[in-house]
Amino acid sequence: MPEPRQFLSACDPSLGWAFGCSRTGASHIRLSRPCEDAYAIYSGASGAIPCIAVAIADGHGDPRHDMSRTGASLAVQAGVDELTGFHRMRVHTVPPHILRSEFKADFPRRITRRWREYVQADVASREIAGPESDPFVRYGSTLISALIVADTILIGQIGDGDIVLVRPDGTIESPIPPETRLVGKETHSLSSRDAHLLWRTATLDRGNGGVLIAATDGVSDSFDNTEGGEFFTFVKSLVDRVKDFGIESVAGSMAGWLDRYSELASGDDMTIVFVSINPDENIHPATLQGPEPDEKAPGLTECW
Amino acid sequence: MPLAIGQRVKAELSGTELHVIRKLGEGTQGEVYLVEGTQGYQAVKWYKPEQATKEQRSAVLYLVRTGPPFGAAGRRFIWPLDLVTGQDTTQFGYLMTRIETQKFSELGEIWAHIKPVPNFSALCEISYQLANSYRALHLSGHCYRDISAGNLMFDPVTGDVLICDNDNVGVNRQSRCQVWGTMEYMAPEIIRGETDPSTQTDLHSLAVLLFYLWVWHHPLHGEMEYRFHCWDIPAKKKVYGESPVFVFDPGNPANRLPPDPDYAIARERWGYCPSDLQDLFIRAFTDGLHDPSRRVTEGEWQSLFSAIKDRIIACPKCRAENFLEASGRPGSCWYCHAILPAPPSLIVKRPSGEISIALSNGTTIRRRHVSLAPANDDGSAIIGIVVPHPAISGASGIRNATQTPWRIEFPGGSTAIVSPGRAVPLNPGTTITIDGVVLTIIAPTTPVIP
Repeated sequence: MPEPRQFLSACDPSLGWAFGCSRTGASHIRLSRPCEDAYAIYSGASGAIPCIAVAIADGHGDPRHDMSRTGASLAVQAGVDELTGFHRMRVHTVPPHILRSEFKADFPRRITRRWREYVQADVASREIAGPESDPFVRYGSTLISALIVADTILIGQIGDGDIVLVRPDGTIESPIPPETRLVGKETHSLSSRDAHLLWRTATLDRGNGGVLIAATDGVSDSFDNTEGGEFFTFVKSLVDRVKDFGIESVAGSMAGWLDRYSELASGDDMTIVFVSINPDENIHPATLQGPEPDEKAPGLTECW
Repeated sequence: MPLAIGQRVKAELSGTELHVIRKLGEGTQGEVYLVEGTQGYQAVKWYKPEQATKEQRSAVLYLVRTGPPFGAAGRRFIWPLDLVTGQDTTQFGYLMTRIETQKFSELGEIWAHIKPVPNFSALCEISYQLANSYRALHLSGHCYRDISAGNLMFDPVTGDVLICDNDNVGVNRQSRCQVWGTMEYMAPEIIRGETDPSTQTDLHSLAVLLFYLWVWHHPLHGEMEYRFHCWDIPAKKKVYGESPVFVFDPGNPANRLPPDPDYAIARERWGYCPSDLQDLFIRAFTDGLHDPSRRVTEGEWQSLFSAIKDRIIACPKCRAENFLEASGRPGSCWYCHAILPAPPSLIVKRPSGEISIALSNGTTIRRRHVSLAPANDDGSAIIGIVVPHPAISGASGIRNATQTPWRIEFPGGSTAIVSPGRAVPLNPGTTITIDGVVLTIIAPTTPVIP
């Protein structure tokens, strides 16, 4: 399994653009352990409607979860596949408010099942013979996944990590509040027996757009997070820097920043995905002209 | 457009101005904002442009003028209090009371371990209150049309219930509405396009919601749903509407739970349900799926949850709550598997019939056990509670939690007055008279059967 790419970006002219960056944590480097985070960014069409899908995952990493690096890669792949598939199946058949309620009802169960299928396929391809314990535990990972499409943003999360939306006026929306009842570094996992019940979902209006930022816990653990605290300051400063210096500049500096935070603070792997979302111009799908794009044609797809 | 922080909107009927403080959340039909006005902090649901129709406006105005159902059952509805409008916009919303989200939880928060899991006693109370409120709504001539877990909030400790998003309530079989519910809660005949939502289709949705509360699973999600790789609208129509089969249907194994980790919790929690609750679920999702007149009514659910709450006993070894079967057979603890001793019980002879309450430390006797609840009260006030004896280990008594003395008669015929705060020993044959109703303490009559 290759290391996650240091940097990747994708763009859809009507929706906005996205970039992601992943770095091996300082403590992982010291212990010669690989990066156990993964991320994916997809830009293309879902049901002939432009969309951007992003996902980040954090493999659990301890000896019980010895395949968690692969588990995280399969999680981001499953996240993007399930979100785009979910949207494609409903976009032309149900009104937007039903699409949102069906997302809350169906996504947790379907994404968990899809990840398990991918894990089972991986187990079979590696010919891992008769594991004594639950095979899914070895692949344990968190996952945050989001789809930006038309007037809607769909978000699902299991386990730790952060996802926030910074609106153009600087307001920070935290659609999925942090887990509060878990102790220390404990987190919910895709490999939990009740994983389909542990998901938290949110649906947001795209409205006047903003910046959606998803990060693995290595990033927010590097800050004093009392009541959002320094992490929110970091998020806002990131948005301001993109405005002031441009995306290339921020993207070019991101790896260095994350390495520094990991070195000085959490020591954990660091992964961040940043989506700049254009304001919704209320273009109704029905008014789109021209032939439907071939859905099998390759979009800009990258998954690890 | 959404409302802006600091924006001023108007409550139309009262004519008062409301100040938008912050956004509280976002639903499928609109956003919810915290507002401040002459009544202090309240909440406003503000419809999205496509939902802010003339029909919805009329529906909200109708509900504001009609008001919620009467009494405690009606107070659980977060009812529209006023129509809210803004300047230079055709969008509108409605005013409602603010929900204490620290106290009240959504089911999803329980599943995700964000809030504590309700114990059996709280679960019975939540289910009772739900049935009680929907009964009151239906008796007022209205149907809800969108019963789902998304519209329910509850206190996981006390079992108190709030029912949100009441703007889709309408006159049974008359008014039209924009929302026809979430497909997983819809009655099969609606999905097949044979009928509009009504109180009868609400009964199916209520049964699905109760099943979710108890089993944490959808009653029709078994092999059939599992086999659909593409979970699209035709697949949903098939599973929920055209060929619905209950996952625990004793006569039809076509839709059993698959042997997959996803289903372990559902299997486990179904096992925790007492057999009379299982029986009602089986009726709701076998006969009731195909014949709406066979659906379980709110009154039946209400009676059942009240009865099974009275049969909860604590395991003497691990303190886990267990349901005593209706037959009186206690069995073994679901958690530690210890054999449960048959407890003493309290027989209440009421004009409407006799009820039995299993007595163990912590058991509560409520007003509704001894009297018909007045219309503005659900009878949940505690009038007695079983407490351990302060000095004699293993002995317990019923403490008088009312403000008036009880008259009791011991098996030998002697009588006594038990002042408020004092306890009656659990001595078999002792009778307590409260408001003219006689309550008799009965010794365990069945041998311990594992």
